[in-house]
Amino acid sequence: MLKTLLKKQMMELGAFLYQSGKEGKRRSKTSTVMYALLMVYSIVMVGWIFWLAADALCEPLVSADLGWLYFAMFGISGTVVGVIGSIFTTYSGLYRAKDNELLLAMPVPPSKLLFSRMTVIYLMSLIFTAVTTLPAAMVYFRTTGSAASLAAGLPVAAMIALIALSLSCILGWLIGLVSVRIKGRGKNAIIIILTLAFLGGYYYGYSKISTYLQLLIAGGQQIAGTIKKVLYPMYQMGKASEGSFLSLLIFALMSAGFFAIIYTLVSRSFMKIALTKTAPPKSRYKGKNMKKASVMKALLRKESMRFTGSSVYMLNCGLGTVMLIVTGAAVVIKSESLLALAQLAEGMLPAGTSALPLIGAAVVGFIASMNDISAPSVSLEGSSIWVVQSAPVSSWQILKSKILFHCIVSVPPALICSACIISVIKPVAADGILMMLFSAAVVFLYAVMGLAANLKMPNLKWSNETVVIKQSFSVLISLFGGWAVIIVLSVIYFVLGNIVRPVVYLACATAAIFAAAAGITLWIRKKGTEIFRFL
Amino acid sequence: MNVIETKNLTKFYGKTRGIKNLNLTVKEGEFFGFIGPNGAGKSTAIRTLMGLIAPTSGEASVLGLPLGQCREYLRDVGYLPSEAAFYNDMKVRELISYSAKLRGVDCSSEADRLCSCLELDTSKRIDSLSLGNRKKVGIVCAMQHRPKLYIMDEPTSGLDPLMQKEFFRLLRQRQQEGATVFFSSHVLSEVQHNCTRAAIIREGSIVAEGSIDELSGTSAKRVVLHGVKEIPAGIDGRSVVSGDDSVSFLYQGDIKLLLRELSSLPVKDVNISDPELEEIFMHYYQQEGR
Repeated sequence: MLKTLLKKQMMELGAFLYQSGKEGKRRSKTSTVMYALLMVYSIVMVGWIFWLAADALCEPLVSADLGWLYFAMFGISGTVVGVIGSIFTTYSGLYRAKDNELLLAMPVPPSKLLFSRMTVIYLMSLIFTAVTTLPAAMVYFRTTGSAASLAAGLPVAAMIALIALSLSCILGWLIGLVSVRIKGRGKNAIIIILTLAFLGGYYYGYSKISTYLQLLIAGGQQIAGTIKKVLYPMYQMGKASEGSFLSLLIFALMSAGFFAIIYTLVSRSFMKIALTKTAPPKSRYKGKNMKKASVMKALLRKESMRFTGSSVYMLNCGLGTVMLIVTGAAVVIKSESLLALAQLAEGMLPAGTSALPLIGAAVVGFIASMNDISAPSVSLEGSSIWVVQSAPVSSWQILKSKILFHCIVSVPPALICSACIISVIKPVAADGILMMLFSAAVVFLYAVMGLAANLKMPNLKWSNETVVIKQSFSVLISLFGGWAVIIVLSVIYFVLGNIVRPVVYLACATAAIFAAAAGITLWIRKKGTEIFRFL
Repeated sequence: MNVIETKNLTKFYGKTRGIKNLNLTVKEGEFFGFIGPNGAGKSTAIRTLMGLIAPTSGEASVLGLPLGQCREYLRDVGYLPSEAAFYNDMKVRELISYSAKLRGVDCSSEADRLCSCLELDTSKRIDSLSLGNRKKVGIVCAMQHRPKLYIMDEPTSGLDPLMQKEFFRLLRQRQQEGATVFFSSHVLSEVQHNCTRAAIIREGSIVAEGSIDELSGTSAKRVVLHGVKEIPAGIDGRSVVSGDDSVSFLYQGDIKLLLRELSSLPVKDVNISDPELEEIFMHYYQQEGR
């Protein structure tokens, strides 16, 4: 039974690689290879970042006889990355899977079902963890030549992934408990607050990393002593990574024990949380006059209900809204140090008049790309797409509402962030206006780009909305496409910066983005509507 | 032996009523119909029996085991939910086989027989199936392991009349072999034609339970009067239908009183008969202002 469950879970995990989301049929070999290469590229890029960090830390810590601390630090990072990487899947994968009821109505022991679901999350955690810890092990091997540490790399990563899984399950379980007790949109608000608090804490810690590194170099032995006391498992993990078999055994027992406790805790309430369906409270009908609303208002309301009704959608596709506002506030609060940093960056740009507005616009553009609300919006219609398709509204009105909703959620925070940056860098009026226009243009481009990608690559046959929100190609294109736009514009400025004034360049870039967005909008109106009608 | 027994089984979703003090008994070998309109609590009762919902209060047992031991009795239960969520990317035969493997049994020959009876193409993908064919997949999954008890939530919705007939033939066959069938429906004719006993659920509680004959032969009678257009003033009739020269109504009360009242009216003809189950159903639902 467990084998059957695991096989099905593994097939679902790997399906996105070889199966077309639109038709559910096998992809072509070229498409599969392209997908695989994209995955490998992403993993290598993240691994490379950790390689650089490991390269900087390994030598000094090994010299100070703190090799274990070096591994402990990467172990902690690996745990955090593993948790972040699997956190969103944990709640939806464990408790909100559509086949929970189907399977639990059969004589399938809940413990086996839970175990099979956890195995998938574990594998995801393992990938994220290994990307962090394996580069550290390789750098250590290059520095010290210790083959034992290299051999310990994978087992240690496996144990760290188990800890990450356990932590991820705790959060998923807490979210599950909240969702059982609180109903409706209040539940989503609490889930978002919990997750944002977690992410906020993570980013705060990450922003302080240079301070911690300085402290580490200044008082390495003292910190090592503290970690040894407070985070004893990580001490053992560090020693295990250095090649100590005894420490590997102790660390394995500790992580397995921790997982066993969490598994017991989660399995006790699994049935209750997984099968709780909260019925909306009965409300007494109150007669009141009907209000006439426009079609667009009704469609926007539908998009809004869809967005606010799913914490997974909000967190994955609307995080940019929060980040833009937080960045704007941070820019104002830390204006002096950020201005100094920006001026330093400005020095690297081609000479000319102030390029700070360009940097500011690029920052807004980069963060705004975290909002990819439109990218899964067609797929999210799922098997109910016929409802809007058969409604007495045109396909263009439906698609326009998706673009408009993305802009409504993303343009105001982008403008707020731009305004905050403007208040600090104090550019001339023309630059300020262009920065605001650029922010609006770039959000508009992301909205239409995401929607166009989704129209070309829709997936209406999902059983878990997380699949289309997190793992769809359209979301990937929207996110990386946004970054690519900013990177391309930056590279062009590096090339043309000496002959074009920043203000002129910003005006041209804004115009180009508007033109590109208008072009894609035209495509959506002409071709996209046809595609949508026959999905 | 009581295969299903509930005592004051209650389920509230917060403040919303699911079922309230549900008392139900289904005996071994019965073909039991569970009737009620949408929202009456049929699915909640069934999901509670399947261990998919924890009751707020009350007790229940299935196949002699309490709800707390549902994992044990589920082996002998064939369950068909009203809306089964299947894996769209699987083929029909893969899903049927997956269902059998999760039960730890090999029932491929029985699955083939059922697919043949229901004219189900097993090479098709689930997402390409119509609602009726999806229902057939659910039926095969629920019946292939030949369980002792069939719990089916509106099993015929989506099936065409020929398939409904075939489906009930298969179920009757299983019942004759000793199995118990418990199914919910709001199609009264299928309950009347197939069941040995039935219960009517209204607003979460059982309002009538008994054999089909007992239910049909309840004290309520269908009275048709020719020659008058209105029911007598002293008679409390329900489900009143007035024609050009006749009036029809359900009457539940002293028959002598009815006859006395009729004697004073210009009645040309009288017809008093046992009502159809549908009329009984409507009778119960029209009580208390519904």
